[in-house]
Amino acid sequence: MPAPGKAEAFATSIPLELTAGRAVRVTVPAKIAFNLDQMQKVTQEVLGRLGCDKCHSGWDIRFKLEEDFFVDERGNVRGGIGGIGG
Amino acid sequence: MEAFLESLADLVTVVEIEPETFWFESGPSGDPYHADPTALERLRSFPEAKLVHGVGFPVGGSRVPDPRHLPLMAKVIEDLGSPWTSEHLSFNQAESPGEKFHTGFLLPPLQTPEGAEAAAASIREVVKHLPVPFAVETGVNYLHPRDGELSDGAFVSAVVSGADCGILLDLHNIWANERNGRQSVDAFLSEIPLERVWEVHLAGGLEHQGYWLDAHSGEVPAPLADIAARVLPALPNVRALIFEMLPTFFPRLGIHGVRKQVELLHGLWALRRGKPAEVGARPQPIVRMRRGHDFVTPAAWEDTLGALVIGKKGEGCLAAELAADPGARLLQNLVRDFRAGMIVSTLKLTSRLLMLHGGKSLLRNLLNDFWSSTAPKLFSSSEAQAFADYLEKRELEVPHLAEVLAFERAVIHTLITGETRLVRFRCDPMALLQALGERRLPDTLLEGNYEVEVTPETGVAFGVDSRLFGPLPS
Repeated sequence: MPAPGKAEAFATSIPLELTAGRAVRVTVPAKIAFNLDQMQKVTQEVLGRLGCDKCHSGWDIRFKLEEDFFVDERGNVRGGIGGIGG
Repeated sequence: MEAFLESLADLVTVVEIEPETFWFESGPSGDPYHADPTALERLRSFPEAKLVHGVGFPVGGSRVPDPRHLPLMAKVIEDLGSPWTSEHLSFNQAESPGEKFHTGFLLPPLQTPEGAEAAAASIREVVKHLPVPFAVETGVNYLHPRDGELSDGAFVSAVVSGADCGILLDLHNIWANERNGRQSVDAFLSEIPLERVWEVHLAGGLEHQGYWLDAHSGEVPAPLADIAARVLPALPNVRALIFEMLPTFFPRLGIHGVRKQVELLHGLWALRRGKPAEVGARPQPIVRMRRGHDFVTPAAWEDTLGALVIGKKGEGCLAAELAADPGARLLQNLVRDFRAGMIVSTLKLTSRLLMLHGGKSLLRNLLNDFWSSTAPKLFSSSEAQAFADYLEKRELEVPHLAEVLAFERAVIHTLITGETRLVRFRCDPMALLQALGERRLPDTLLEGNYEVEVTPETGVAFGVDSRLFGPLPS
């Protein structure tokens, strides 16, 4: 019985290619680009972000999460979902 | 998802799949909808049984869902071997003079005999194109009960009898309806043909703006679990019990918490009596009501409520009645939150750049302005592209906005079409994108001619050797 989710093994570097001696070209696989905030913890959740995602009639907290994660003046990231539903 | 399934492999025997989450609205084939083949293949590899549950084309309205999605839906159902399929007894499309629009949310249909017949007609039409039996999901309704409408249970009963289909009994929805002032769970169950229930959904919810929301946000509440324990033995044809939870809330429960929920489901499942009977049930008579002086057609209901929840002002008695319902105001807020959620998930770096540059209010003001002129889109990719179009027209003076936006548009395009895209930057792109990924504005950026090639290949993670960066000597 195959274990799901083991199909993609990720390398740890991106290919860099110099083009025509004029520019630095960086190749970024699109499925990775959505996870720049996680960098080395790449997941495959991106597909659900582009499709139709209305399986519930609740409160979509993604915007609140994004708003609440803010960097303070010292460069610290703060925020989380602890306040949801309160 | 896979990690959770793997760790719960000893408990999970069936997985319900919402196929539209990995669909796109257009692609290289020119078809109106297409599924990501990689995602489909991964889902097919799951060892668990699969059920296909639609989320994008509800059948509760007077307008038949876009029939162009049905060939793909039938293919997904067959590919995944789903023994039956289901959709919501809701609507999400409406019309205003000169245009059709999506409502951005699953909305409750008009609960009259005419509404029931309209929904039944939609189901009968959809079922013609599906290879397996069809069940309709009982929905949540945040609106006040209306004078003269069918009760929630009578409405569902009329629909499934008229369509001769099964019921996906979402007990959390019914419980939420009771908590929010609609029909009680017991009264609802007394009015529906229990032998038509093939599947049961359980979920958690949360309090928000004075309502209990069907938010799929965590544990099954204990009172709901007690109700399920009473109900399941009374369902002779139930074949599946599903726990629903959004990935956003996985960190809150953790794997141990999810395991406890699945164990709860096993305990409930064990309460059923005897062997299930064959799927199918005798037709029930449709409840008839006398038409009152304030007769509303299903289409008028859908257009009025749909317009209201996306922020348009309506005219007439029905619009005034709905506008006075706090549930309609809740729906307006939920639609906005859904739309905002789509934007920050698909244009994540652009959203962060806007917030970091101009504060939260900048992004909120832009979204409000965007929403005032653009109706919701069914698919997140389309909503994101529409917002990207809007931002480009605004020509905001935000440093690097055009480049970041072009990059994220390229990512979406590449994911949908499989085509490689090239994006030019006038500064070190990785330093810029990485800073936004870390929710901060970048430090001083090296200027130069850079290109980012966004490719469709998988199998490469993101890691940067900073020594290789910097503008080339001219």
